[in-house]
Amino acid sequence: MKKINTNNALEIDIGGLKLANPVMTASGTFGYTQECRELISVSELGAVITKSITLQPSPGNRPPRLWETTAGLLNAIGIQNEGLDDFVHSKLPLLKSAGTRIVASIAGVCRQDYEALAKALDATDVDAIEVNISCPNIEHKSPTTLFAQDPYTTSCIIRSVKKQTDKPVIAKLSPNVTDIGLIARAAEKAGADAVSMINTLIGMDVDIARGKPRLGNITGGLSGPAIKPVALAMVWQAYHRVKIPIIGIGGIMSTEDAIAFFLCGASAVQIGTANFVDPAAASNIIRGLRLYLKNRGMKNIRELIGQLKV
Amino acid sequence: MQKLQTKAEILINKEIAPGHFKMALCIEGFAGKARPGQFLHIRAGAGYEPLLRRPISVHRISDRQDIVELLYKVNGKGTQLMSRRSKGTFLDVIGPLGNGFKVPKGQSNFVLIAGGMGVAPLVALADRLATYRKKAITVIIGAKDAASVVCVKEFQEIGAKVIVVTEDGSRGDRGLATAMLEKIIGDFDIRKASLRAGPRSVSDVTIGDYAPEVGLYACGPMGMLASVAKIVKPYKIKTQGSFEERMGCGVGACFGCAIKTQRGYERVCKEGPVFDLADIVWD
Repeated sequence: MKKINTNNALEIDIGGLKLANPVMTASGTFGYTQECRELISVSELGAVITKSITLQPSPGNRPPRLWETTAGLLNAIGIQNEGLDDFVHSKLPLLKSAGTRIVASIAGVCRQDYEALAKALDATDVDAIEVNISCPNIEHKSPTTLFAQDPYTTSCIIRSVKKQTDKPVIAKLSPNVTDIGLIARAAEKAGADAVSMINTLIGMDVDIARGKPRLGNITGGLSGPAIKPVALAMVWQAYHRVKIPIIGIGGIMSTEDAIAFFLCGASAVQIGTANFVDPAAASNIIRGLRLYLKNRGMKNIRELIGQLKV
Repeated sequence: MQKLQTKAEILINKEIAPGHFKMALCIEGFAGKARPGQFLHIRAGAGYEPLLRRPISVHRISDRQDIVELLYKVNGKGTQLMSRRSKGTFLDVIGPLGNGFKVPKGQSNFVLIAGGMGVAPLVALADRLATYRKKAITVIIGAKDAASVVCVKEFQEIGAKVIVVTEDGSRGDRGLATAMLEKIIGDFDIRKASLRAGPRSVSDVTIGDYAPEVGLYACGPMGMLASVAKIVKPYKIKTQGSFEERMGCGVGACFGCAIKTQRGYERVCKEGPVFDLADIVWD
């Protein structure tokens, strides 16, 4: 277990997940750390959220899987991964040697999948579980396209996961809803220790010369700076509806972007697409936040949370 | 091999043919790091438009100096921004990335087939192959028209036999590079092999049986690579192809640049960009 420096102005507790700083790398954007270790010091990060793990190996969607849009990125990767057993036996030992907190992201097509994943991961030394109920690129056995589009299914899955583990449980929410506050509330009532928001926005682009979609899966999830205003608004909306910590995600490229999320009510942030543009993005944001607090005489990042003047 | 994220100084950035640019970069600590077939992930601008880096294959590499050359064609916003960068300015680069070309021991006859900008990484490969003793290098360059034919001189200076094929016939033979490859394979080995093989049917004959020294390398559009795979299949010639796909991270983290192989989807940036053509599943 990594020792937390009590004098650290950036340390934060996210529903029992104690972090040296509130900057994590978002699921699916940082691999299992080994890909990035030659480029950055992974131990500096508050936490690494793994690429989502499914019960069985998952091949992912047909290519093309990526398409760049104006200040954004559409992806339809479809959670390609080697499955739970491979994660536990080969990925996790490597992850744990990275010297930071490891949050396992889990995804499934039905409630039973999430239960089995949570049960298996409870027996490992991952530090928390992020429940991905909002990936727009896989099909679920659910009346709605995504579990996170319905408060009832959100509640069912989070409740089931909570029964299987004592580790902090984070519900990852979708922006593709009419009222994210309602869904955040459902997650909280079901026992979620925190919510992370937002996952990608469903989007698509078209090659008009060929009259075909740009992505093999037709639609994908939009991320990057283009979605930051949506994410900020949703964090702000949820902040007034739940008491559990909110982890802000969506187009965070710089320290300034991260600060905006804290002001809107986020207790931590996840960096996603920015990792592709600059593998050092998260490290730079951590340094930037430390400097920001120092320059303003703030003792802890908590002083910033929800302090938006309206 | 350590990857680098660093600022690379632009030493040269000049247009060598309409829309085709050659760029030389000085990257501190780069000497001896890159292999032919690998690429650099380049941030073309500083803003969010374009947002992502651009993968550009290494065109010429120096083992002794921190200098790497790139050859790129202006295709979109990223390469357009790159083309406007002037000498003496710095580019944010990550690399070298990916797996390069492999040269199995015992080969000394090499056939390189390039479609369009496919010439870019093949020059680095030819540079490397030219250091081998008793080698013979044949390069087929296929392009749309005469204006798009680049690198002939580079290959010739290396000592390669260069065959140019253009779709409109404005330079070299008219037609496709792949048709020329078929002809070369026929001339090169099958006739010879058939003579040696006696009563065996041609379909039983493999270059592997009679000319284990042949190495075939291809780089170009997906359609061309698929054709090459089809052409070489009956002869069981082991062929390495360099592939392109839109990339996110460039380091294997995002699984965005997937290509379908016999082993499932693999990452062009990590397991590739060079794959054995026999491993690719062509849809």
